[in-house]
Amino acid sequence: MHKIKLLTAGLIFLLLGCNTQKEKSDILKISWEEIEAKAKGASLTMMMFQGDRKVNKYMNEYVVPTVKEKYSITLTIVPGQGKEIVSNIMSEKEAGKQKSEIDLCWINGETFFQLRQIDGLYGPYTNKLPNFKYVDIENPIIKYDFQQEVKGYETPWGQSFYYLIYDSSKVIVPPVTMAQFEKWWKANPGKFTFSNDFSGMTLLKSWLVELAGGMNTLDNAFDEKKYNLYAPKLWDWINANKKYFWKKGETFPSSISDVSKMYSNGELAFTMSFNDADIDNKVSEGVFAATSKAYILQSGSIQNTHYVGITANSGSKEAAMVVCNFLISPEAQIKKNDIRLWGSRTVLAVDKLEKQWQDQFVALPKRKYGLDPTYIKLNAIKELAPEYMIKVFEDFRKKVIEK
Amino acid sequence: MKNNTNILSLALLFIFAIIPVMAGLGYALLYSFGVVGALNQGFTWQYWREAFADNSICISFLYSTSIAVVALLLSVTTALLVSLRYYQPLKKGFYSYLINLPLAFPPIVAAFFFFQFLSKGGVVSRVAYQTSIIHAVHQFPDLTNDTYSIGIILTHWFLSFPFFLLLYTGLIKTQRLNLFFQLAESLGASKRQIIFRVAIPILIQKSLPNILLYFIFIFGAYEIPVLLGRSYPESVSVLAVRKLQKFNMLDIPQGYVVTVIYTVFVLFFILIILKQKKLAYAH
Amino acid sequence: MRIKFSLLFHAFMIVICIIPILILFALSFSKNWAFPAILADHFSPIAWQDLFSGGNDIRHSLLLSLLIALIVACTATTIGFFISKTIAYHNFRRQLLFLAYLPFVLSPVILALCLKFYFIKLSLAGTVSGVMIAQLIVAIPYSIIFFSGFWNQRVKAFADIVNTLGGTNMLALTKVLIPLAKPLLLICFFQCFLISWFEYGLTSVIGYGKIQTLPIKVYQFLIEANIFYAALSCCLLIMPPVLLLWINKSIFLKRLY
Repeated sequence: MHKIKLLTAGLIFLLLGCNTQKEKSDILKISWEEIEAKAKGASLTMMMFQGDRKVNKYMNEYVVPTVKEKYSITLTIVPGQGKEIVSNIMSEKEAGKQKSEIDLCWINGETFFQLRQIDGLYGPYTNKLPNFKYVDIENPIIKYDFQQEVKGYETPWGQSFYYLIYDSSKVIVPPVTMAQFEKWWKANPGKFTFSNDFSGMTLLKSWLVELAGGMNTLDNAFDEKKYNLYAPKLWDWINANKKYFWKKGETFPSSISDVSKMYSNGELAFTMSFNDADIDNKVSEGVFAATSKAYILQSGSIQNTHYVGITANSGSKEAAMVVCNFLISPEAQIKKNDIRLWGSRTVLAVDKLEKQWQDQFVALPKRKYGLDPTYIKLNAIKELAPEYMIKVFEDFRKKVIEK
Repeated sequence: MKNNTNILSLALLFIFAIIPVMAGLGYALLYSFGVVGALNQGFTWQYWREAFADNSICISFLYSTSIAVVALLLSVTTALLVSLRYYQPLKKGFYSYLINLPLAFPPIVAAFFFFQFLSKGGVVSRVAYQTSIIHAVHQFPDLTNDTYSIGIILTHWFLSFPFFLLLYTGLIKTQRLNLFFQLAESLGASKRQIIFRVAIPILIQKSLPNILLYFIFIFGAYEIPVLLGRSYPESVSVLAVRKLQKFNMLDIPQGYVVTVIYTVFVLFFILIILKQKKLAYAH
Repeated sequence: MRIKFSLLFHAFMIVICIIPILILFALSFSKNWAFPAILADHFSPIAWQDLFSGGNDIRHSLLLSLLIALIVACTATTIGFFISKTIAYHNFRRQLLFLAYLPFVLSPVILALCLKFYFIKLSLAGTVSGVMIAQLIVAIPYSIIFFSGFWNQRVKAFADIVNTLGGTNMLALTKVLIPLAKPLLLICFFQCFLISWFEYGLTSVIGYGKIQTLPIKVYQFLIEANIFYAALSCCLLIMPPVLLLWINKSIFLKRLY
């Protein structure tokens, strides 16, 4: 609790200490054409999670050359996620640096939350983006990032939902409730684990939702009482069963790509993904067995949106806005939606688009292994408030890993 | 003129070696006491108290120490035995080149190789499968990210063994230990006696500062434990980086607590090493 | 018995010295390496061809690494040579040497996290020059320690003779000291080159991930689970040291002085 207090105190301290951004209004006053003109020739750095080859390919082989060609903007992609972004921006604030080394960042959830706390994001700017009108902003999963209203401080970029993948040649009936998991683990020791990153934590949150009574029970702001009620049950349950996990639950893989690697080796019977097209891609590449199947838990599937933020001290906010606008253009979103490229679902309201774009969305190749979008929509769990993620991360280490 | 160059050299020494360490240590100290940092509000003991509230820091220091001790025991022992037994083929010719090859591996490459070599889906496991020693991937023993840190220790051994082997082969030559053996032998000492009573003590004594220095390197290693280690316990560098860069920004001051303790620890260690005589090296 | 022991020795040497390099090279040519196949489905030189046909990330990293390592090695060798001379004849020789040891032995990633603040403050974070300066903080102390054994009474006597015979300091330097130190200068240069070439911790933190030298690239490929490109970068990383080895087999030993 005192940590939260400290955070708030820190926030106030920062707010008092930080000078207000006066240029903000200047950019927002000028026309989009002027913004585009100012953006010409700028160099930008974008920090993002680079743990997925398809995503890297989409960025390096499509976005980077296209913004160069269209807007003469040189975009450099550098690796770094979550806390690394927060820690870099925080160090810059501490050093009083006026111009950040990072202009754009791929964020959501707790990273957005923490960046907002240290006043690290520029905004609100999204209304200025011409393509923003196509965004399905009334969709609660897009409007709220882990239950926090986005309020123009980040550009919605793509939607994800959480699902599990299993090998149907090894698992006849995949477990969908905690009781079924327990039964399966006991019958098949050593074949299950999850990663000590956002992907694994999301599975833990899904179970937390199940413990709390199912979909919608943990909606809205962080509820410490509820957390303290259900989380200990989760840790007891994991601790009681972890001896049936991979390496007896004494260690957990550090990233989801390790889990997927072991799944493709046959070392594990399950893996997880936040990327809709993952299973289709990996099966067609021969990385996953053709007997792989996707499914979601009975309590539902956690869904969220990922966003692109502009740092408060970016040296070329105009160019950063131009790139954001490009990322939500129908053209870029179609490519992002294409399972051959990235395969994450669009944030655009397709029915708002012109006919030609609508047709292109419809013409995209269908998923063979992925789940049906309407089915997913019915089972959507809105991503929990970011404090749950922070707490689950921390307690997972303290109460499970270090036990 | 002479004075000017001296002043310039000393200035450069301060700029590139002394000031950075002092400034870095100072910053870490101030941060750990809450004096600097965006979320801090002035001097507090809180982070030092918190850091010692659970024993994760102690465990990390013990863990790193034991990894370094075991890896060094292994590499020094094997290097002593091999250099004494195979002094001739190692002194010149093909092997004298060959043994240098592992030294061309940076830690990150060595860690990557050992992961591909020893993990359950790795080369050794595949060979075991193809030769029917194992029948499924999970039967292969845990050698990476494992309970006993076998992967980490082997990788450190792989990088340090050739170094000590070369060092000892060189020392045997420069200290003329081989002549000494002949002398001792002609005086009637057994080969065993010579090796254990004469050669090994001399070699260890001569290489002690190098061993201690290597200890510090393994103790502070980052790339190898981060790729081959487990989620818990963590080596000191991995712990510090996690606290400083991963996830919860309220952990940062605690990360600097770890950093300060580590730096002071290394400082004392260097003092001890420099108290010893000159570092040995082979020509 | 004797023969058996020797066989074991030969096998042992080959396993630890040659197998790692072979496996890394094999992986860099591989595609689809699914368990339990020992060798990949097919081998193709595509990754290597990409490297030499241009427009490729790894090639950029290779050139960047080379550039940084060469500059760092030149600077560290020169500066270290002079600093070590000053220290060697200084009254506080031991104390100064002690201070010089520290940056060399501290864990680079921890040192970097303590220095990041200052690098940002000086606008050096995320720049090539920042990374070079950060690497010099390790390489120069190495070079100082390396040369500290060189400056003995004999060397001083030689230089003094030149001076008493009326020669300038410059003459003593170019005609006596540098020729005397030449083999050491070369070895120190190679060593500093390798320190920079292998450096990961400082480069990743001070470089913000923007300065993508080869070790950074390897790590990135590992996160991406792209083992074939990781193997290719690994091969590129070990090639210069292996080549240097053929030039002079004693260079490596000096790394841990």
